[in-house]
Amino acid sequence: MDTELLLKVAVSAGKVMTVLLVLSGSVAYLVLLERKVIAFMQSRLGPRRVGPSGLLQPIADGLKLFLKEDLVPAKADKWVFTLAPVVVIIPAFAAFAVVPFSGESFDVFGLTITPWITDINIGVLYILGISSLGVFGIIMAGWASNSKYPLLGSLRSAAQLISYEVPLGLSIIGVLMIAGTASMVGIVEAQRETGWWFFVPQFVGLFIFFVSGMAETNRAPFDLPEAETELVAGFHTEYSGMKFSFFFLAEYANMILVGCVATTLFMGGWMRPFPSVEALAWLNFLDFVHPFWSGFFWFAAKLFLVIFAFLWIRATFPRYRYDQLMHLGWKVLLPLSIVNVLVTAVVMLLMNSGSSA
Amino acid sequence: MTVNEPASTLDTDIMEVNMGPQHPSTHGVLRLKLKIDGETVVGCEPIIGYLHRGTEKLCESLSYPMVEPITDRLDYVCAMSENLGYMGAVEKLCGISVPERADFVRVIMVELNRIASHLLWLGTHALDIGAMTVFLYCFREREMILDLFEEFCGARLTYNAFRIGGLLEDLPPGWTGRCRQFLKVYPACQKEYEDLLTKNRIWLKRTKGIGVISGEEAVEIGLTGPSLRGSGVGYDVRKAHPYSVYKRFEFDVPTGENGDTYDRYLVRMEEMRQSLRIIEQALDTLPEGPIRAKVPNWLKPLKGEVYHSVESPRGEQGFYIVSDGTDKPYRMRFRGPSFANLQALPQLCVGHLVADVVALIGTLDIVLGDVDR
Amino acid sequence: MNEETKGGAPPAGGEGEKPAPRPAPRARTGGLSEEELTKEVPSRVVERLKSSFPDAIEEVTYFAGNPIVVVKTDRLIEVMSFLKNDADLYMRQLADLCGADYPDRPQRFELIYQPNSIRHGHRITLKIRIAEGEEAPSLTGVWKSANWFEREAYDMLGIRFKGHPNLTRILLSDDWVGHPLRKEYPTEGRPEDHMLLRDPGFRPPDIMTGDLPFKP
Repeated sequence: MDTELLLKVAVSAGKVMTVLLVLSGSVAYLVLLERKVIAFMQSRLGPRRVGPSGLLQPIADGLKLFLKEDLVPAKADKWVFTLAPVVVIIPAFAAFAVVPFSGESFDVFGLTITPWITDINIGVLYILGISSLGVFGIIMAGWASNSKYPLLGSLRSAAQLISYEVPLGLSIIGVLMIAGTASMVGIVEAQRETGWWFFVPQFVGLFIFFVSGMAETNRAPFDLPEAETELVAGFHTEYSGMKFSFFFLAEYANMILVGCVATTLFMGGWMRPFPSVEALAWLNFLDFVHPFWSGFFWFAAKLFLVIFAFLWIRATFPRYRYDQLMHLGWKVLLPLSIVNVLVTAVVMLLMNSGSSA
Repeated sequence: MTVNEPASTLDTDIMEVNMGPQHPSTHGVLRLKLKIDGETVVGCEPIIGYLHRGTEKLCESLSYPMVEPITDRLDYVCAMSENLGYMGAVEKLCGISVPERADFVRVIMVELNRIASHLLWLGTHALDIGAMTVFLYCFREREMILDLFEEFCGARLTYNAFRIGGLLEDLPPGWTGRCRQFLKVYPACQKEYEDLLTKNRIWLKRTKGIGVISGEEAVEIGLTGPSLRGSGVGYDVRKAHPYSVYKRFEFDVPTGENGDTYDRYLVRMEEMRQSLRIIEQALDTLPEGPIRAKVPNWLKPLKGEVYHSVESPRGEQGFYIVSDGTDKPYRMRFRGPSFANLQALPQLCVGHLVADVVALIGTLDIVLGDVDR
Repeated sequence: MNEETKGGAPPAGGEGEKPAPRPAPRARTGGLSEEELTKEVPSRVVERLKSSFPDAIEEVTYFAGNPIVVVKTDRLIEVMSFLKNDADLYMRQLADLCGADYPDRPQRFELIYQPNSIRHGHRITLKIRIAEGEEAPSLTGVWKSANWFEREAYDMLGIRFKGHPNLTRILLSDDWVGHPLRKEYPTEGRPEDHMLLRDPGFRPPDIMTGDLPFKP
């Protein structure tokens, strides 16, 4: 009994460590990817000096941030100032606990290891709840800096995050209604059962989720809290060194998180395209290594697609203004998401009554 | 305008924010003292002079030809226009007439420089509003123009390209061909920027109805150049007081209707096309002949004073020279268009949001070297 | 170079197509002669001014086709308002305003205005002369654009304008001593020799506490 528990804890801890490490690495390389992709769109080359075609650039950046002097402004509130980046980064990473990275478990030394840290039956709610905690850190950072630009930036940020939380949550409800579960794994399985990915019936939901997700992660064109040309650097103007890099990591981790959630909820998670069509089984070509890798491959591919769209949009659009952003959130996305929920409900009701009659 | 809502009944404090002199979007060392209520600007006071170099005083101890490199450094983004304006003023003061070929080459250079300057404006303006790709596209094309300039006069920013009475050197062999090559590729490039911006909904939202100024007010406050023409006043020094050989070319003076940031954007975009037209005509009719009138190196104009102005990409660039009959100007006055245009900023800003201030600095297209002199 | 200037030899040659009579020996431009440059040109603005304000005009000269009108200082605002509002002239824009310093004259400063008509496309140069210590009338009530130009003239030459809403330094810092465009302002030597650059008693406003004076 005791050994079993200990083993369970050890396996969980191992999985947490793996996810943390892989996530930190992918965040670092996401920065490189962003720079390369945007450079390509802007007809330049991007980083090329460190390592072959710039592949070691994230490591150099990380080293630079680690070794930089850690400044605290003289008039800042030291405790809150130090606490803020921690409050931002912990939820950003904690939310990954329920993301299913692949479908197939694998066995090591007789232990079955599932490709997710945990599968709780309120996974989606957990993600929503945890990820909205980050806003506290941003407000703390803006307040503790005791400087005007960070204060403006954090006010903008708080208003923006809270406003877009609402349509973001509502856009998911349609999916939950169809799937009938709030477990992340359960939702993917539901997509296998219904035969199509949920972005087909829930394309409005996906659109709202995507736009709100961009706003939640402060990505362009909603990057007002750190609008470089207006507020210098927004809430993290006064930060440097490691503390700054925490904000940085958190932002990109959040971006990956939105990508993961979109992939899981709307794009079939780890499943290959058309999972019910047997003729396309060769798409899981990594099965010869282990079915885990096939699932992971498809998950990563879809994630890449979502993130590429993020980068693409950043390179294309100008920035919204504060009042326009609020207008979009409350007067366009919120009603749209409510209508989406209602329409989904009505359609489901009609279909169910049709089948039962 | 959606932003001019009446103040709420909440008791709010007014915050004073220093924007600049080191700020990413003040285009140099402009400092704005902003009074903001939440995010709404209720007061704005530009503080300038951080780049003041005392050029007007400096010119009093330099001979006329020695002043020319200084004019480069006034409005360093369009140094060709400054050169042309100063040359025009001195030539007017001395009554020198310039050989035709030199005049044509000057016009070609100035119009190329106008495109380069507008490209820099467009790039930074778009970057301020958040569209970062346009910035790099603009610099790609500006590079081509700078290469042409480098070939002609050896410099890429401060050209010092003309001389009193004409040019120092003729166009290098093959230059006209390369210039035509540029004229051929450029329209497609401009279409790229327009694709990214002109119909972009966010761009429209950010620029339409922002910083509206009527034509009457714009004239009153001293706006010139595209900022004035965006308000529908078709005043262009090239047409109103033709200098050099502008009379010979056909071109339109585009004007806006609403006097907002979007119209000023459209005016400048159209101006680039008109500049292309002028360059094309000038290249087609480029005469052969001498490039410099006979002017003594040690120039001593008569006692007298002239005001001469040219249409720089930013507006009316005036030069007022008082000569006392010696080889040095007694008083040299540079009328910078940016200086006069910047004066309109407080009027434009009030009632808008902080984010719009950035757009408005961009739309006035100021160059601090020209403001502070 | 030097012997040329000293010798006062005729210029290297005028324009080919215009064999102008040789100008006065002082001018070495290779361009037009003095007579041609200072020739009177017909100008509507000058005519109207002469007929409407015969007593306000002190002097009219011409140079390079541009009329230069000197008016009496106390009549300036009247003349300018006329230029701006008269339907026939309609000079709605003040293109430039600057000062010049002539220390030898009894009325030391000249203020030079460049009103400009956008509708009719004509412009003239208008001047007033004021002595040291005298206040010039401020044009801010006529043209808003005069505001900064007058501040600049004050900053550079120390000319005070009566009725200006905010006559402070604009280009130089507030603790600057002296007015650089005056002819006696030193241009050589070390700053400490002139004891001009900074006023040691000046205290800038404290930016951190936020009590910035605010005068747009």
